[in-house]
Amino acid sequence: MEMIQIVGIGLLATVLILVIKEQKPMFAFLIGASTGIYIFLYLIGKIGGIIDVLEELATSSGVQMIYLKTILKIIGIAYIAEFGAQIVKDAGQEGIASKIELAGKVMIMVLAIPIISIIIETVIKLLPT
Amino acid sequence: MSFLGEWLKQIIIIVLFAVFVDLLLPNRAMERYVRFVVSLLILLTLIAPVVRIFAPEAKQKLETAIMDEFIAPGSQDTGQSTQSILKQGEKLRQKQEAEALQYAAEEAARQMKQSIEQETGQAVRRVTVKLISEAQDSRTPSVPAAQTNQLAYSMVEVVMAAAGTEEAGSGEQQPKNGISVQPVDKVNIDVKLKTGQTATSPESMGQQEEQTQAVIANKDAPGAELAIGEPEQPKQAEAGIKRQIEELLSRQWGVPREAVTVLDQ
Repeated sequence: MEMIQIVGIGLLATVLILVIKEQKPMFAFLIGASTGIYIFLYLIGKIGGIIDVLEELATSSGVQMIYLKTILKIIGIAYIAEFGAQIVKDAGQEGIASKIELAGKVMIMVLAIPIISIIIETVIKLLPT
Repeated sequence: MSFLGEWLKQIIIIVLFAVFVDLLLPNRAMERYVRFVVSLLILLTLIAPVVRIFAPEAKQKLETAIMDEFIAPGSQDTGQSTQSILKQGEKLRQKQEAEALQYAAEEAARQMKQSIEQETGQAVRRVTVKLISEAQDSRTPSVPAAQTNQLAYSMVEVVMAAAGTEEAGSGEQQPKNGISVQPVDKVNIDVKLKTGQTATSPESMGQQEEQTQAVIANKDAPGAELAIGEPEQPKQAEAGIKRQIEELLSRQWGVPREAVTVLDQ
């Protein structure tokens, strides 16, 4: 039922945009962006449930919470960057969209830095001096 | 054995997470990057026993690093505000220093005036003292605040009252002897003995205000009545008084001679 709601919202927005696009492209863009944001917000609740389950799983299996947090941050960064880039792309600004994606990639790489440093540190300590 | 089981469980869960993340990813563009980071995490889990042996503090380090990542924008803000607080503190310290300097200059001027009057018996209209602290003078704002600044007289200006050119050499004539003959008309002697004002470098920071505030007017000084209108040798007398004042100041206060200016009005 929920899936039907989301698809219905999407279809409605698409039809509206097609109708309005010739007269007011600005409003068409606004409708598209707000629909996207609405679906996104709707999904956040669901994602919260998934994350709760994952955390439970992690704590029960003894995985360090820090790993889980890192993974979740990666997903969040990827989704938000993708979302913003899509909206900007819809507005016709390919350049800015690619910049947003670049920012997302850099953020993900920044997350990797502490992990890399620990691995390298361990390897260096393993080596005989 | 239980440790081994724990380790295996961790590896399995992490790999499951990695697959899950791979599925959740919105598009292909991010895929390589996300895979890189996730595979690093899997690697870290695989070598966890080794890490525990060789770098036991690694876990804390990782946690602090990622937590810093979480609160990064806030911490940047506090950093800036710390900077600004330090700057404000420096400013306040400078202001306080300037005020203390001004107060010291006023006090020194008052005492100098008294002692000059006692010593020479001449009425002094005002004494202006300019103090500088060496640290301020050298213009290094980076000096630590705890450093004790050396005070130095940069300029001492003694303005004599209108009368009083008579008792040059002796100077021991007490004004209170009361043999003031009669109030003679004021004789204005316009001799300017402006020597040796070399040491007055242009100081900064509101020390001009000191000059005006350190003025101690001396209208009713008893020496003012000693005006006797016979300035035969005014130049010599002036020079004598000037020398005397200079000597006094350098003896009692340690003022360098070239910093003393004696004006006569």
